[in-house]
Amino acid sequence: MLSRKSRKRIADYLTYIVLILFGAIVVIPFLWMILSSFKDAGEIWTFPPVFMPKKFQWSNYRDAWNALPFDRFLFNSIIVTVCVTIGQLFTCSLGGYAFARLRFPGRDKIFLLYLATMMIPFPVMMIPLFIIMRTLGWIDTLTALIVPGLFSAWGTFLMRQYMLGIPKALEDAARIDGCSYWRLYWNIIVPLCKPVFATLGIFTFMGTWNQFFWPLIMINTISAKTLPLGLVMFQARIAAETPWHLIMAASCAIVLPIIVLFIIGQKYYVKGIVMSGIKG
Amino acid sequence: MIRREFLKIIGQLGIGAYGLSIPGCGNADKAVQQKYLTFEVKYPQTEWTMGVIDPNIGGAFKIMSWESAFQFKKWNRIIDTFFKLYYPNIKVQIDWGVSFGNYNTKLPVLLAGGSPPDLVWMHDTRAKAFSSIGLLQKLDPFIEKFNPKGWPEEYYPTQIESFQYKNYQYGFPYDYATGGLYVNLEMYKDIDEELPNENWTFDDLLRVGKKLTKGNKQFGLNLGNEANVGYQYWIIRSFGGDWFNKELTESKFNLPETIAAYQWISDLRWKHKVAPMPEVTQGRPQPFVDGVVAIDFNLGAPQFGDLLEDKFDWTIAPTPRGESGRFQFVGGSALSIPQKATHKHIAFELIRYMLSNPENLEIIGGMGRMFVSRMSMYKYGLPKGKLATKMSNFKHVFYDLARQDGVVVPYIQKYQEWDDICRRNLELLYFGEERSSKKVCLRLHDATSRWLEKLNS
Repeated sequence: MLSRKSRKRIADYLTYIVLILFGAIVVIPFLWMILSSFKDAGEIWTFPPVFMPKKFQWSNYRDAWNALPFDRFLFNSIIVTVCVTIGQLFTCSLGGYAFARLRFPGRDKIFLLYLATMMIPFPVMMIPLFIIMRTLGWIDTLTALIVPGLFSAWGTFLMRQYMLGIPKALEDAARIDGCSYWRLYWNIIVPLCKPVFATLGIFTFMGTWNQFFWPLIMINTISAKTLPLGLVMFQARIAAETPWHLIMAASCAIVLPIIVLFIIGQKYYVKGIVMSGIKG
Repeated sequence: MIRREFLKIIGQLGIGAYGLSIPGCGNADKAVQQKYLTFEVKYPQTEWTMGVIDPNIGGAFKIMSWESAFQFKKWNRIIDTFFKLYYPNIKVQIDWGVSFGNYNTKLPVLLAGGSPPDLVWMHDTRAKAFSSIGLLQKLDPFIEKFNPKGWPEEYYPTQIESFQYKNYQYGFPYDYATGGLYVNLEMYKDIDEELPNENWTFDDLLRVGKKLTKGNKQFGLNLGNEANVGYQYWIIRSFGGDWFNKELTESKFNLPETIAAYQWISDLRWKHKVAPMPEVTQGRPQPFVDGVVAIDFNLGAPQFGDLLEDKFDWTIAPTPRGESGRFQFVGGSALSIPQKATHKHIAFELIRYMLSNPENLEIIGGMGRMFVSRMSMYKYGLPKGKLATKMSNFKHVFYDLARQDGVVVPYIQKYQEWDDICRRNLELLYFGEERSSKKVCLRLHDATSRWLEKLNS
């Protein structure tokens, strides 16, 4: 008969083994991408696949970067992502505050209606949205990528739910001191909402950085392309003609900001998953 | 202070992003919109321009292509020269490097959303789908007024046919992709057989395939490419079968010959075990390159050859003939003009300049290593150097025989929709869930008949 301590230790070991296995499932494709970014074109197609490159081709990174204007793609991606993230934080927090704290006729119905927009699949909205962008003259501009991304029903929901948990007494005290709605929002609510700002910020940043389909439809010229669009420019119609080694090198470079952000905001990311109920 | 800075940054970034997009906003072309096609000559004509459009016209000319960064270089060179010479004030906007799958998602949105490019790349599998719903411009009036050099007698008849719908031309073919056999000579030397030739029958090929198969390690034949239903059409025709009648109104999957052809394909894997099993082909895009298959059906793209160059000794050979004769897979792509394009005349002039000018065809063929659509220019698509030695019969296999026996795959309108139905049924055969092609083909016949009835109603 094993002691309680030993049983606990065995259970811990088993848990670690399972976690390591799951971790490996997640990490191996990523590792594969990194190692493939150092292979030459022929090695990519070798079967059975070779994990380690025979010789590390550092030049893949240089070649990928020089083959296309990746500096421009990077710049566009940064502009779009930063604007959308900041914009969405601003609009969602204002919306969330209004739905959580202000009293006005039809508030909850409007909120439900806003939430209902999340149920409309994007392909249904694609052509009407495209026509709106065309009418505004925004096709092939970064504005077309930024403006529709500034508002999010999900972000507003997240903010509202968080703000509902802030004690009303704080607001009441500020109101007695003569705070306007704007000042209440800015001086009381925003500082207390830092965790949810971080969560929504990380989700929005990652979502926008990786966004592919909408930019694909909207952007036509190379100078306005973002990183994910730039990446597929390597892809040829015949798979064998695609320089996968360069794609892997460019992918590694693209994913770097996301990794840095994830490392910095890991705590909030996990918190966000808990708060929003989103699971992978 | 911090919050003030925060607001300042929002403002600056917002204005910055808007400012950046301003030049792009100018892309919305407000140049002359041509509602009706007119061919009134008002300006000096040149060898490559009709004289209908003012050479000093401004605005933007939009092109959309699925070619990759590397493939597009050749087109860029020619497009650049054309506009510098004939329309120097036009700003060319090229949306290239959109992968093939994404291209076919994006193009319909642009066309339906009222923002069509002036010139688009068109694949034979999609041409009828686009032209049947009026999204593409008929090229016939242009061809009549400003006949491209050598048209039509010097162009592959199969490629011209591929881009026709109800006898109108909707695409100007630019390449010619044909199918053949790739043979691993290192495996082949172990058997006492001649290399396949165009007079071989399917039985000859099967006999050799059996000799070349070594259990689960080496497979003799890989002909039935389940990833592409169209790649098997030549086999069906060789057996005397077909998919549809000539008018594309009836299914022919109930023909005994069609059933026999699919049975032959299925038996390669499940009865004779000469074709690689699904577990071998899945996750292995090029089983021949990996040295698991001795004889493989593939297109004559010399790029494929590059991968094999130093791996093992190999060559190419023609596909066999069936009881109904010899049929060879041919396919390709074209350039088309959207129905609502702004600069239709210029688009046609550019097509004519790119695809009928021998100087440009040399660039397109040489840099793309492909047969261009003008038959007499085949030499530019022939492999060079070491590959030319390996594939000394390249012209015979992929050009001469294809011209003689090439068969157009009936890419019916809404082909993608039918392709799904077809694939769902044929997969039962490919993956061994059903061994009798008769059952599968009759099921597919019913499904196709219903689909055709709906299509034609």
